[in-house]
Amino acid sequence: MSNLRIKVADVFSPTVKGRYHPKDGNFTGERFRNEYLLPNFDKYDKIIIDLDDLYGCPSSFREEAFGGLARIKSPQEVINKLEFLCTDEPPLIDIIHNDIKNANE
Amino acid sequence: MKKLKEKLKKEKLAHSRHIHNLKRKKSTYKASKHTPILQQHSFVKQQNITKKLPTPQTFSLIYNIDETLLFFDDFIKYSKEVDMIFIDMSKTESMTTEVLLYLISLDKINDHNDIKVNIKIKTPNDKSSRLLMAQSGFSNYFRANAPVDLNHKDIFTIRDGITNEKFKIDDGETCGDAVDFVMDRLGLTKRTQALRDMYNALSEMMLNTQHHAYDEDAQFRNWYLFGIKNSSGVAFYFFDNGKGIIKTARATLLEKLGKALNISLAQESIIDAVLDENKYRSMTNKKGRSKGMPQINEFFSHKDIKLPIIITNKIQYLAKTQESKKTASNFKGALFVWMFTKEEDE
Repeated sequence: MSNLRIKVADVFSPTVKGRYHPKDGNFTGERFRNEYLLPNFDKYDKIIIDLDDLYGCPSSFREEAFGGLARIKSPQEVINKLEFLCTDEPPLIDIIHNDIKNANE
Repeated sequence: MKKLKEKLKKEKLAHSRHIHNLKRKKSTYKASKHTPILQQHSFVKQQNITKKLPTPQTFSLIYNIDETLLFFDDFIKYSKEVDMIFIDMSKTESMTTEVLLYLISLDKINDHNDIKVNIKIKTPNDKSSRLLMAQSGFSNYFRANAPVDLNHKDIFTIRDGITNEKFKIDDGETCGDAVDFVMDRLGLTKRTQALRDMYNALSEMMLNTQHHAYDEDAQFRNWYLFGIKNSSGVAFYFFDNGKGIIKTARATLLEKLGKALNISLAQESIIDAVLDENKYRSMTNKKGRSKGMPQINEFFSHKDIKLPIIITNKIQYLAKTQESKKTASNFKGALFVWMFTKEEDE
Protein backbone atom coordinates (compact mmCIF):
# COMPACT_ATOMS: atom_id res chain seq x y z
CA MET A 1 0.00 0.00 0.00
CA SER A 2 1.45 3.36 -0.94
CA ASN A 3 0.01 6.66 0.14
CA LEU A 4 0.68 10.20 -1.01
CA ARG A 5 -0.01 13.15 1.25
CA ILE A 6 -0.60 16.56 -0.33
CA LYS A 7 -0.89 19.63 1.87
CA VAL A 8 -2.55 22.11 -0.47
CA ALA A 9 -1.48 25.26 1.43
CA ASP A 10 2.20 24.21 1.33
CA VAL A 11 2.69 22.64 -2.07
CA PHE A 12 0.16 24.71 -4.03
CA SER A 13 -1.10 27.89 -2.33
CA PRO A 14 -2.98 29.03 0.80
CA THR A 15 -5.11 31.29 -1.45
CA VAL A 16 -6.84 28.88 -3.83
CA LYS A 17 -9.55 30.33 -6.04
CA GLY A 18 -11.43 29.73 -9.28
CA ARG A 19 -11.97 26.94 -11.76
CA TYR A 20 -10.06 27.45 -14.94
CA HIS A 21 -6.40 28.07 -15.48
CA PRO A 22 -5.17 30.70 -16.17
CA LYS A 23 -8.43 32.57 -16.75
CA ASP A 24 -9.57 32.47 -13.11
CA GLY A 25 -6.18 32.93 -11.46
CA ASN A 26 -2.93 31.16 -10.68
CA PHE A 27 -4.14 28.67 -8.11
CA THR A 28 -7.28 27.24 -9.65
CA GLY A 29 -9.08 23.94 -9.26
CA GLU A 30 -8.22 22.90 -12.80
CA ARG A 31 -4.50 23.48 -12.24
CA PHE A 32 -4.49 21.62 -8.92
CA ARG A 33 -6.34 18.67 -10.50
CA ASN A 34 -4.03 18.54 -13.52
CA GLU A 35 -0.75 19.02 -11.64
CA TYR A 36 -1.35 17.07 -8.42
CA LEU A 37 -4.36 14.75 -8.66
CA LEU A 38 -4.39 13.30 -12.15
CA PRO A 39 -0.64 12.52 -12.44
CA ASN A 40 -0.74 10.66 -9.11
CA PHE A 41 -4.13 9.05 -9.35
CA ASP A 42 -2.98 5.70 -10.69
CA LYS A 43 0.40 5.74 -8.94
CA TYR A 44 -0.89 5.56 -5.37
CA ASP A 45 -3.45 3.49 -3.49
CA LYS A 46 -4.53 6.45 -1.43
CA ILE A 47 -4.06 10.19 -1.84
CA ILE A 48 -4.49 12.17 1.36
CA ILE A 49 -5.45 15.79 0.78
CA ASP A 50 -4.68 18.06 3.73
CA LEU A 51 -6.85 21.20 3.53
CA ASP A 52 -5.61 22.92 6.69
CA ASP A 53 -4.09 26.42 6.65
CA LEU A 54 -6.03 27.53 3.59
CA TYR A 55 -7.70 30.95 3.77
CA GLY A 56 -10.82 29.21 2.52
CA CYS A 57 -11.90 26.69 -0.05
CA PRO A 58 -14.22 28.42 -2.53
CA SER A 59 -16.86 26.31 -4.27
CA SER A 60 -15.43 27.05 -7.71
CA PHE A 61 -12.00 25.67 -6.71
CA ARG A 62 -13.18 22.54 -4.91
CA GLU A 63 -15.84 21.66 -7.49
CA GLU A 64 -13.42 21.91 -10.39
CA ALA A 65 -10.60 20.12 -8.56
CA PHE A 66 -12.54 17.23 -7.02
CA GLY A 67 -15.87 17.28 -8.91
CA GLY A 68 -13.88 17.74 -12.10
CA LEU A 69 -11.74 14.73 -11.22
CA ALA A 70 -14.92 12.68 -10.69
CA ARG A 71 -16.10 13.66 -14.16
CA ILE A 72 -12.81 12.38 -15.63
CA LYS A 73 -12.61 9.20 -13.53
CA SER A 74 -15.82 8.29 -11.76
CA PRO A 75 -17.36 9.55 -8.50
CA GLN A 76 -16.87 6.16 -6.82
CA GLU A 77 -13.24 5.85 -7.89
CA VAL A 78 -12.50 9.33 -6.54
CA ILE A 79 -14.27 8.64 -3.24
CA ASN A 80 -12.22 5.45 -2.86
CA LYS A 81 -8.92 7.05 -3.75
CA LEU A 82 -9.01 10.46 -1.99
CA GLU A 83 -9.01 10.98 1.73
CA PHE A 84 -9.45 14.48 3.17
CA LEU A 85 -8.09 16.10 6.31
CA CYS A 86 -9.42 19.44 7.54
CA THR A 87 -9.28 20.35 11.19
CA ASP A 88 -9.85 24.05 10.34
CA GLU A 89 -13.31 23.33 8.91
CA PRO A 90 -14.39 19.68 9.42
CA PRO A 91 -17.76 20.03 7.56
CA LEU A 92 -15.77 20.88 4.41
CA ILE A 93 -15.01 17.17 3.97
CA ASP A 94 -18.72 16.30 3.62
CA ILE A 95 -19.21 19.23 1.26
CA ILE A 96 -16.41 17.95 -0.99
CA HIS A 97 -17.84 14.43 -0.89
CA ASN A 98 -21.13 15.91 -2.09
CA ASP A 99 -19.31 17.76 -4.89
CA ILE A 100 -17.80 14.45 -5.97
CA LYS A 101 -21.05 12.45 -5.73
CA ASN A 102 -23.02 15.14 -7.58
CA ALA A 103 -20.31 15.90 -10.12
CA ASN A 104 -22.39 14.75 -13.05
CA GLU A 105 -25.57 16.63 -12.12
CA MET B 1 11.63 106.76 -9.08
CA LYS B 2 10.50 106.25 -5.50
CA LYS B 3 6.88 106.04 -6.68
CA LEU B 4 7.80 103.49 -9.30
CA LYS B 5 9.65 101.36 -6.73
CA GLU B 6 6.64 101.48 -4.39
CA LYS B 7 4.32 100.53 -7.24
CA LEU B 8 6.51 97.55 -8.13
CA LYS B 9 6.66 96.53 -4.47
CA LYS B 10 2.85 96.70 -4.22
CA GLU B 11 2.45 94.64 -7.39
CA LYS B 12 4.89 92.04 -6.08
CA LEU B 13 3.03 91.87 -2.78
CA ALA B 14 -0.32 91.52 -4.54
CA HIS B 15 1.11 88.74 -6.69
CA SER B 16 2.47 86.79 -3.72
CA ARG B 17 -0.90 87.23 -1.92
CA HIS B 18 -2.64 85.91 -5.01
CA ILE B 19 -0.36 82.85 -5.07
CA HIS B 20 -0.90 82.34 -1.35
CA ASN B 21 -4.68 82.52 -1.80
CA LEU B 22 -4.53 80.01 -4.62
CA LYS B 23 -2.63 77.59 -2.40
CA ARG B 24 -5.17 78.02 0.37
CA LYS B 25 -8.04 76.97 -1.87
CA LYS B 26 -9.44 73.57 -1.06
CA SER B 27 -8.00 70.71 -3.01
CA THR B 28 -9.64 69.60 -6.18
CA TYR B 29 -9.22 66.26 -7.88
CA LYS B 30 -8.76 66.08 -11.59
CA ALA B 31 -9.04 63.06 -13.75
CA SER B 32 -5.86 62.96 -15.77
CA LYS B 33 -6.80 63.01 -19.41
CA HIS B 34 -4.63 63.48 -22.41
CA THR B 35 -5.36 66.66 -24.37
CA PRO B 36 -5.45 65.92 -28.07
CA ILE B 37 -2.44 67.53 -29.78
CA LEU B 38 -4.55 69.61 -32.17
CA GLN B 39 -6.46 71.13 -29.31
CA GLN B 40 -3.25 72.40 -27.74
CA HIS B 41 -3.03 74.98 -30.52
CA SER B 42 -5.13 78.03 -29.89
CA PHE B 43 -6.33 78.35 -33.48
CA VAL B 44 -8.09 74.99 -33.38
CA LYS B 45 -8.95 75.01 -29.72
CA GLN B 46 -12.65 74.49 -29.19
CA GLN B 47 -14.56 76.16 -26.48
CA ASN B 48 -14.78 73.91 -23.45
CA ILE B 49 -18.26 73.07 -22.30
CA THR B 50 -18.42 72.46 -18.59
CA LYS B 51 -21.33 70.96 -16.70
CA LYS B 52 -21.55 71.46 -12.99
CA LEU B 53 -23.09 68.53 -11.15
CA PRO B 54 -23.76 68.96 -7.45
CA THR B 55 -23.71 65.79 -5.36
CA PRO B 56 -26.57 65.14 -2.93
CA GLN B 57 -26.33 66.14 0.72
CA THR B 58 -26.15 62.45 1.62
CA PHE B 59 -24.04 61.00 -1.15
CA SER B 60 -24.61 57.30 -0.64
CA LEU B 61 -26.17 54.37 -2.46
CA ILE B 62 -26.83 52.78 0.91
CA TYR B 63 -28.59 55.65 2.67
CA ASN B 64 -29.90 57.77 -0.20
CA ILE B 65 -30.06 55.53 -3.23
CA ASP B 66 -32.61 57.33 -5.43
CA GLU B 67 -31.04 60.78 -5.28
CA THR B 68 -27.54 59.32 -5.63
CA LEU B 69 -28.51 57.26 -8.67
CA LEU B 70 -30.02 60.37 -10.27
CA PHE B 71 -26.65 62.09 -9.84
CA PHE B 72 -24.90 59.18 -11.57
CA ASP B 73 -27.52 59.12 -14.36
CA ASP B 74 -26.64 62.77 -15.03
CA PHE B 75 -22.93 61.98 -14.84
CA ILE B 76 -23.25 59.23 -17.45
CA LYS B 77 -25.44 61.42 -19.67
CA TYR B 78 -23.19 64.50 -19.59
CA SER B 79 -19.98 62.46 -19.97
CA LYS B 80 -20.93 62.08 -23.63
CA GLU B 81 -22.06 65.67 -24.10
CA VAL B 82 -19.55 68.01 -22.46
CA ASP B 83 -15.77 68.49 -22.22
CA MET B 84 -15.62 68.86 -18.49
CA ILE B 85 -17.77 67.77 -15.59
CA PHE B 86 -17.33 69.74 -12.44
CA ILE B 87 -18.52 67.60 -9.55
CA ASP B 88 -19.41 69.94 -6.75
CA MET B 89 -19.38 68.06 -3.46
CA SER B 90 -19.43 71.17 -1.30
CA LYS B 91 -23.02 70.55 -0.17
CA THR B 92 -22.35 66.91 0.72
CA GLU B 93 -22.46 66.36 4.46
CA SER B 94 -22.06 62.59 4.54
CA MET B 95 -20.73 60.12 2.06
CA THR B 96 -20.06 56.38 1.84
CA THR B 97 -17.20 54.87 -0.10
CA GLU B 98 -19.12 52.91 -2.71
CA VAL B 99 -19.96 56.16 -4.52
CA LEU B 100 -16.22 56.75 -4.98
CA LEU B 101 -15.81 53.23 -6.36
CA TYR B 102 -18.68 53.88 -8.78
CA LEU B 103 -17.14 57.18 -9.85
CA ILE B 104 -13.76 55.54 -10.48
CA SER B 105 -15.37 52.79 -12.53
CA LEU B 106 -17.40 55.24 -14.63
CA ASP B 107 -14.26 57.26 -15.35
CA LYS B 108 -12.45 54.06 -16.37
CA ILE B 109 -15.33 53.13 -18.65
CA ASN B 110 -15.20 56.59 -20.21
CA ASP B 111 -11.47 56.10 -20.82
CA HIS B 112 -12.08 52.68 -22.26
CA ASN B 113 -14.79 53.98 -24.58
CA ASP B 114 -12.57 56.91 -25.59
CA ILE B 115 -14.92 59.46 -24.08
CA LYS B 116 -12.57 62.32 -23.28
CA VAL B 117 -14.37 64.17 -20.56
CA ASN B 118 -12.30 65.85 -17.88
CA ILE B 119 -13.51 65.52 -14.34
CA LYS B 120 -12.90 68.16 -11.73
CA ILE B 121 -14.07 67.57 -8.21
CA LYS B 122 -14.64 70.12 -5.52
CA THR B 123 -14.20 68.22 -2.30
CA PRO B 124 -16.90 68.28 0.41
CA ASN B 125 -16.78 70.82 3.22
CA ASP B 126 -17.38 67.94 5.61
CA LYS B 127 -13.99 67.03 7.06
CA SER B 128 -14.58 63.28 7.48
CA SER B 129 -15.76 62.94 3.87
CA ARG B 130 -12.65 64.78 2.67
CA LEU B 131 -10.48 62.49 4.75
CA LEU B 132 -12.25 59.43 3.36
CA MET B 133 -11.59 60.63 -0.18
CA ALA B 134 -7.93 61.15 0.56
CA GLN B 135 -7.21 58.02 2.55
CA SER B 136 -9.29 55.54 0.55
CA GLY B 137 -6.84 55.63 -2.34
CA PHE B 138 -9.36 57.50 -4.51
CA SER B 139 -6.57 59.89 -5.47
CA ASN B 140 -4.63 57.00 -7.02
CA TYR B 141 -7.25 57.10 -9.73
CA PHE B 142 -7.77 60.86 -9.86
CA ARG B 143 -4.78 63.18 -9.82
CA ALA B 144 -4.92 65.20 -6.63
CA ASN B 145 -3.02 68.25 -5.51
CA ALA B 146 -3.09 67.31 -1.87
CA PRO B 147 -0.63 65.03 -0.09
CA VAL B 148 -2.29 61.73 0.77
CA ASP B 149 -1.65 59.26 3.55
CA LEU B 150 -2.24 55.93 1.85
CA ASN B 151 -0.91 53.84 4.70
CA HIS B 152 -3.55 54.54 7.28
CA LYS B 153 -3.83 51.43 9.42
CA ASP B 154 -7.64 51.45 9.45
CA ILE B 155 -8.00 51.64 5.68
CA PHE B 156 -7.85 48.79 3.18
CA THR B 157 -7.12 50.99 0.17
CA ILE B 158 -9.06 50.48 -3.03
CA ARG B 159 -7.99 47.43 -5.03
CA ASP B 160 -9.22 46.59 -8.48
CA GLY B 161 -9.05 43.71 -10.91
CA ILE B 162 -7.39 45.59 -13.77
CA THR B 163 -4.52 46.74 -11.52
CA ASN B 164 -4.10 43.18 -10.24
CA GLU B 165 -3.90 41.98 -13.82
CA LYS B 166 -1.38 44.68 -14.74
CA PHE B 167 0.94 43.91 -11.82
CA LYS B 168 0.36 40.13 -11.95
CA ILE B 169 -1.22 40.01 -8.51
CA ASP B 170 -3.41 36.97 -8.08
CA ASP B 171 -6.97 37.92 -7.07
CA GLY B 172 -6.81 35.20 -4.40
CA GLU B 173 -3.96 37.13 -2.75
CA THR B 174 -6.20 40.20 -2.55
CA CYS B 175 -8.95 38.09 -0.90
CA GLY B 176 -6.33 36.83 1.58
CA ASP B 177 -5.13 40.41 2.25
CA ALA B 178 -8.72 41.44 3.02
CA VAL B 179 -9.08 38.57 5.49
CA ASP B 180 -5.74 39.47 7.13
CA PHE B 181 -6.88 43.09 7.38
CA VAL B 182 -10.04 42.06 9.28
CA MET B 183 -8.06 39.75 11.57
CA ASP B 184 -5.53 42.45 12.31
CA ARG B 185 -7.99 45.30 12.88
CA LEU B 186 -10.39 43.21 15.01
CA GLY B 187 -7.58 41.47 16.91
CA LEU B 188 -8.68 37.97 15.86
CA THR B 189 -6.05 35.32 16.47
CA LYS B 190 -7.37 32.58 14.20
CA ARG B 191 -9.26 32.33 10.93
CA THR B 192 -12.84 31.83 12.10
CA GLN B 193 -15.48 30.21 9.91
CA ALA B 194 -16.85 33.67 9.12
CA LEU B 195 -13.39 34.74 7.91
CA ARG B 196 -13.03 31.60 5.79
CA ASP B 197 -16.47 32.30 4.35
CA MET B 198 -15.48 35.91 3.66
CA TYR B 199 -12.53 34.63 1.65
CA ASN B 200 -14.84 32.26 -0.25
CA ALA B 201 -17.47 34.94 -0.85
CA LEU B 202 -14.92 37.49 -2.08
CA SER B 203 -13.37 35.04 -4.50
CA GLU B 204 -16.83 34.14 -5.85
CA MET B 205 -17.69 37.84 -6.28
CA MET B 206 -14.53 38.29 -8.33
CA LEU B 207 -15.29 35.21 -10.40
CA ASN B 208 -18.86 36.38 -11.04
CA THR B 209 -17.33 39.51 -12.52
CA GLN B 210 -15.18 37.34 -14.74
CA HIS B 211 -17.89 34.94 -15.87
CA HIS B 212 -21.36 36.45 -15.53
CA ALA B 213 -21.38 40.19 -14.97
CA TYR B 214 -20.57 41.23 -18.54
CA ASP B 215 -21.55 40.27 -22.06
CA GLU B 216 -19.43 37.52 -23.59
CA ASP B 217 -17.67 39.94 -25.94
CA ALA B 218 -17.05 42.65 -23.31
CA GLN B 219 -13.41 43.76 -23.34
CA PHE B 220 -13.51 45.58 -20.06
CA ARG B 221 -14.26 43.61 -16.90
CA ASN B 222 -13.43 45.05 -13.55
CA TRP B 223 -14.19 44.88 -9.84
CA TYR B 224 -13.29 47.19 -6.96
CA LEU B 225 -12.78 46.38 -3.29
CA PHE B 226 -12.41 48.75 -0.36
CA GLY B 227 -12.42 48.25 3.42
CA ILE B 228 -12.45 50.58 6.39
CA LYS B 229 -12.35 49.99 10.14
CA ASN B 230 -14.69 52.08 12.26
CA SER B 231 -16.07 51.87 15.78
CA SER B 232 -18.55 49.10 14.86
CA GLY B 233 -16.22 46.80 12.95
CA VAL B 234 -14.70 46.54 9.49
CA ALA B 235 -16.90 47.60 6.58
CA PHE B 236 -16.21 46.22 3.11
CA TYR B 237 -17.49 47.34 -0.26
CA PHE B 238 -17.21 45.16 -3.34
CA PHE B 239 -18.43 46.54 -6.63
CA ASP B 240 -18.53 45.62 -10.31
CA ASN B 241 -20.28 47.57 -13.03
CA GLY B 242 -21.37 44.77 -15.26
CA LYS B 243 -24.95 44.15 -16.35
CA GLY B 244 -26.19 43.52 -12.81
CA ILE B 245 -27.32 40.31 -11.14
CA ILE B 246 -31.01 40.68 -11.98
CA LYS B 247 -30.40 41.23 -15.68
CA THR B 248 -28.05 38.26 -15.91
CA ALA B 249 -30.26 35.96 -13.87
CA ARG B 250 -33.52 36.97 -15.51
CA ALA B 251 -32.23 35.85 -18.89
CA THR B 252 -31.23 32.51 -17.36
CA LEU B 253 -34.51 31.96 -15.59
CA LEU B 254 -36.48 32.78 -18.72
CA GLU B 255 -34.31 30.47 -20.76
CA LYS B 256 -34.13 27.56 -18.35
CA LEU B 257 -37.30 27.59 -16.32
CA GLY B 258 -39.68 29.50 -18.49
CA LYS B 259 -42.89 31.19 -17.62
CA ALA B 260 -44.68 27.87 -17.62
CA LEU B 261 -43.33 27.03 -14.18
CA ASN B 262 -45.20 29.98 -12.75
CA ILE B 263 -42.07 31.57 -11.35
CA SER B 264 -42.41 35.24 -10.68
CA LEU B 265 -39.81 37.24 -12.54
CA ALA B 266 -40.11 40.30 -10.36
CA GLN B 267 -36.68 41.63 -9.39
CA GLU B 268 -37.27 40.74 -5.71
CA SER B 269 -38.03 37.12 -6.58
CA ILE B 270 -35.04 36.84 -8.87
CA ILE B 271 -32.55 37.99 -6.24
CA ASP B 272 -34.10 35.55 -3.74
CA ALA B 273 -33.75 32.73 -6.27
CA VAL B 274 -30.16 33.56 -7.19
CA LEU B 275 -29.06 33.38 -3.58
CA ASP B 276 -30.75 30.02 -3.07
CA GLU B 277 -28.82 27.10 -4.53
CA ASN B 278 -31.95 25.00 -4.98
CA LYS B 279 -33.87 27.56 -7.02
CA TYR B 280 -31.35 28.70 -9.57
CA ARG B 281 -29.04 27.12 -12.10
CA SER B 282 -26.51 29.30 -13.81
CA MET B 283 -26.49 30.01 -17.51
CA THR B 284 -23.24 28.16 -18.13
CA ASN B 285 -25.18 24.92 -18.75
CA LYS B 286 -22.26 23.03 -17.24
CA LYS B 287 -22.24 20.51 -14.43
CA GLY B 288 -21.60 21.39 -10.78
CA ARG B 289 -22.46 25.11 -11.13
CA SER B 290 -24.64 27.70 -9.31
CA LYS B 291 -22.77 27.56 -6.03
CA GLY B 292 -21.12 31.00 -6.03
CA MET B 293 -24.04 33.25 -5.09
CA PRO B 294 -25.35 30.85 -2.41
CA GLN B 295 -21.84 30.87 -0.94
CA ILE B 296 -22.01 34.67 -0.72
CA ASN B 297 -25.40 34.34 0.96
CA GLU B 298 -23.96 31.82 3.43
CA PHE B 299 -21.25 34.29 4.37
CA PHE B 300 -23.85 37.01 4.94
CA SER B 301 -25.79 34.74 7.32
CA HIS B 302 -23.01 34.74 9.97
CA LYS B 303 -23.74 36.53 13.24
CA ASP B 304 -20.46 38.43 12.80
CA ILE B 305 -21.78 40.05 9.65
CA LYS B 306 -24.00 43.07 10.17
CA LEU B 307 -26.25 44.78 7.67
CA PRO B 308 -25.15 43.02 4.49
CA ILE B 309 -26.62 44.83 1.50
CA ILE B 310 -26.74 43.99 -2.19
CA ILE B 311 -27.59 46.74 -4.65
CA THR B 312 -28.12 45.69 -8.22
CA ASN B 313 -30.26 46.97 -11.09
CA LYS B 314 -33.41 48.36 -9.45
CA ILE B 315 -33.12 46.50 -6.16
CA GLN B 316 -31.60 47.34 -2.82
CA TYR B 317 -31.64 44.02 -0.94
CA LEU B 318 -31.04 43.51 2.78
CA ALA B 319 -29.63 40.00 2.83
CA LYS B 320 -30.21 39.32 6.54
CA THR B 321 -33.94 39.98 6.47
CA GLN B 322 -34.46 39.29 2.76
CA GLU B 323 -36.22 42.66 2.46
CA SER B 324 -35.91 44.51 -0.79
CA LYS B 325 -36.58 48.05 -1.86
CA LYS B 326 -37.20 49.04 -5.45
CA THR B 327 -35.23 52.01 -6.68
CA ALA B 328 -36.33 54.63 -9.17
CA SER B 329 -33.25 54.36 -11.38
CA ASN B 330 -31.23 51.41 -12.58
CA PHE B 331 -27.90 50.74 -10.88
CA LYS B 332 -25.71 49.22 -13.55
CA GLY B 333 -23.69 46.59 -11.77
CA ALA B 334 -23.64 44.87 -8.42
CA LEU B 335 -22.56 46.29 -5.10
CA PHE B 336 -22.05 44.15 -1.99
CA VAL B 337 -21.58 45.88 1.35
CA TRP B 338 -21.06 44.26 4.74
CA MET B 339 -19.74 45.03 8.19
CA PHE B 340 -17.53 42.44 9.86
CA THR B 341 -17.88 42.65 13.64
CA LYS B 342 -16.24 40.72 16.44
CA GLU B 343 -19.03 38.39 17.51
CA GLU B 344 -18.15 34.93 18.66
CA ASP B 345 -20.45 32.66 16.72
CA GLU B 346 -18.09 29.74 16.43
